[in-house]
Amino acid sequence: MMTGSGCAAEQTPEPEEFTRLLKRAKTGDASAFRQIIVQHQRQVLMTALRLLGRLELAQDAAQEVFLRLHKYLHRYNEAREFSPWLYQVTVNVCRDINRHSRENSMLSLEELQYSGALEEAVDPIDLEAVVSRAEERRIIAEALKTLPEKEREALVLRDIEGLSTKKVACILGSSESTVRSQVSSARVKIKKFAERFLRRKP
Amino acid sequence: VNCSRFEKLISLYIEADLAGRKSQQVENHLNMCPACRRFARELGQSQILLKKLRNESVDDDAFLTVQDRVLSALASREDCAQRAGLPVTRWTWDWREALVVGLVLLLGSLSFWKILPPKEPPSSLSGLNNKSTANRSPVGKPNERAVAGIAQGRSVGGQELVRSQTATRRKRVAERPRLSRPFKAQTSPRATAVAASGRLENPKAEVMDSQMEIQQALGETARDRSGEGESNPGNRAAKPDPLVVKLVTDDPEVVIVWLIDQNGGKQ
Repeated sequence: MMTGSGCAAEQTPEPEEFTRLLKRAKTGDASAFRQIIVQHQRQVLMTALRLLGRLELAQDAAQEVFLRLHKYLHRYNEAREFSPWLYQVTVNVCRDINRHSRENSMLSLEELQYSGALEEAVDPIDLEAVVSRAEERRIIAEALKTLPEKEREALVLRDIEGLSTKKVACILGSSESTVRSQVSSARVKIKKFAERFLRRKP
Repeated sequence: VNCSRFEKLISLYIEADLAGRKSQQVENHLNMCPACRRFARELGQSQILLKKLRNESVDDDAFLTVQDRVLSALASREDCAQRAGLPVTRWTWDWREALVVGLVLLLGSLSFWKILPPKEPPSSLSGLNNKSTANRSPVGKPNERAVAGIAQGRSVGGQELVRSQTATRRKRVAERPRLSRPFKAQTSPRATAVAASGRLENPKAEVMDSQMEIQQALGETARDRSGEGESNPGNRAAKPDPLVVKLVTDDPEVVIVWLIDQNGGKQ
């Protein structure tokens, strides 16, 4: 559960200071663990937010990730890179939450178009005005919610978190070709979703 | 040229995710296809917007909420562990240590079972009599009341008779076929006789065997009574001796004895 397979090839060693912090946290040092939370909370919370689409669920996920981290920290090998390991835990927790909250699960693009939700995703008043950059980002965020889970995970890690295809494959436990296929499909879907609104700009 | 085939390749090309030969193939297609060039340009724009999400964040309060919830959950866990008297420090065993400990426990339990002596059968028959009569009603038939009388020590010489005849019965029981099913208590005397003699291969034979034993015991008791009557006729006239019916189980130590009161259980 807390181990990654085949991810050793692209590892970069953690800074010495962070390794010392991990060792202290392993011995039960609460302040060291708090520092680890502070250093990684943005990575965990924002990844969870993009995977789950709602801040409340993302906060629940982040809480669970850090509790699992505390529980299994003694199993962590300092020779491994910490950040991909934490991404892996985050993805697993988000999958669990998605599974247990089907009412909040994302609709596919086709389902969304069929149900008419796509037309309501952006306020009609904003369609008459110049779509601001914030609105553009909001459209992209909405488009992200329409992707299937696997494609969303691959796209978030590859394009938003900026990880290499190899690392994404390690985190998701799949092959690089699978990740490339998921990412390419997701990019095209995002573009098609976004252009429906961007073309309406005067 | 089928442009839809290039859509996914273009989405990989614009992010430099394609290997050399395929990248060259996409480049050649883009040079000669204006529709795909437009598609690539629009895709590039949506990718720019997508990557801008990288710089987005949420309020600091959201992070603080997570921090507080995690730290308070950990604190309450440690409180619970301390209240329950459990050690707060975590186990640091890996699977090898756990395997060794498991093997030691397994071997220890196996050797314990091997050196454990076999369970001794109960030596006292009085306790057995109590057990065998405990599940029967003392206010049922007269012979059942007589059995209850033995168990309570009211009958004279009943237990001595059981002890004296146990050794001879042991020999007979040892020659019988073994039980295929364990002993099962039943209520009627005949059923008890069948059960006491064990579940043999032929049920009729076992009933006959038990009946013969009962008759034998009745004959012995009658002979004893007649001999006793000759030596002490006054006593016999005053109080007739009870009939003794003895049932033998597969266990040589278990013998069930009925003392049948000749006065109809009135004494």
